[in-house]
Amino acid sequence: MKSHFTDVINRVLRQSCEEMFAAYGAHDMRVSGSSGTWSLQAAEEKPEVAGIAPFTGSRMRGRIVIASSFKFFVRVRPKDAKSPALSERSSGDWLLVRDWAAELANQLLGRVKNRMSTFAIRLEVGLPTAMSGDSLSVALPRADKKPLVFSNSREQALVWLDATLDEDPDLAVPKEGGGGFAREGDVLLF
Amino acid sequence: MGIRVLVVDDSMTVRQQVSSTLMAAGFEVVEAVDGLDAATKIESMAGLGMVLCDVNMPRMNGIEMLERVKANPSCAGVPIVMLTTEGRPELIAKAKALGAKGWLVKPCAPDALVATVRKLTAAT
Repeated sequence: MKSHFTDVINRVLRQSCEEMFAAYGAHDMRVSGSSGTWSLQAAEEKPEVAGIAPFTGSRMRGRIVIASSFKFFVRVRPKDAKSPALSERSSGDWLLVRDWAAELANQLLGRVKNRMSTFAIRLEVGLPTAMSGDSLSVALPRADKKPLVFSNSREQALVWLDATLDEDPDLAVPKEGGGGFAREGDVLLF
Repeated sequence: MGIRVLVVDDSMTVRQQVSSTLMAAGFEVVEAVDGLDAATKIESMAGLGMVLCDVNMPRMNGIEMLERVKANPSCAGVPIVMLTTEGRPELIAKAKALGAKGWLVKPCAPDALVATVRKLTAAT
């Protein structure tokens, strides 16, 4: 039986990701497929880079992963007018793309964490990392995991939560006094 | 030469983005890769107008850096603003109590970032 709390997590993850992609110009990325099923063997476009953001909490712990192509991460990377276009042929540019993938996972986790506060769930974030090349295979979703598959006509990005959850249905209920977190883009001066 | 701002973040992309935005607005920018690097630079650098600092970083996080710098009379007066994905009210309160001048939640719009830096560097 599907847990209500898992539904909440997936909804929060999806909304957070849509907002984050939009913030970086990828308004056209939408969740595709009825259940987001995905397999490495069947994938038309295999991910090249993954950003990984770990977290711990009393009711859930694990990591958020976002995986896609070099080109997609370059497209959503903030543009620096002084920097030339990044190239897959440059090892230095791969470092920049890996760095950005890690930061993107970090920002996605931040959005999820802030929203989970509504349910009185507190998460502690760890330091984000990135993977690419042969090591990427250990980061990709297992057969029992159904990632969110965002895509447009040309690109695909996988996003999933690899975590152990306390499946208590009470967790799915917003709590009085929950929330109160600062949100993305907030400017607080003291 | 513009007012000098120290940008602290373990992400190269964030440092590049923030630095580029501030330099385009006329500020001089110095970078640090984590809290320890930042604390060392703040304690040794003359003429620093302001610090923009991430929270979650290796070796020394932003709150630890804030605490160390504000405890040092030689540099306690430098305005420090946190730039982070964190939104926890208790963390914001802690930073405020330690002497931070502000808290920006990523992603921060470039014009809001520049306005914040201009406001706080004009006040010193």
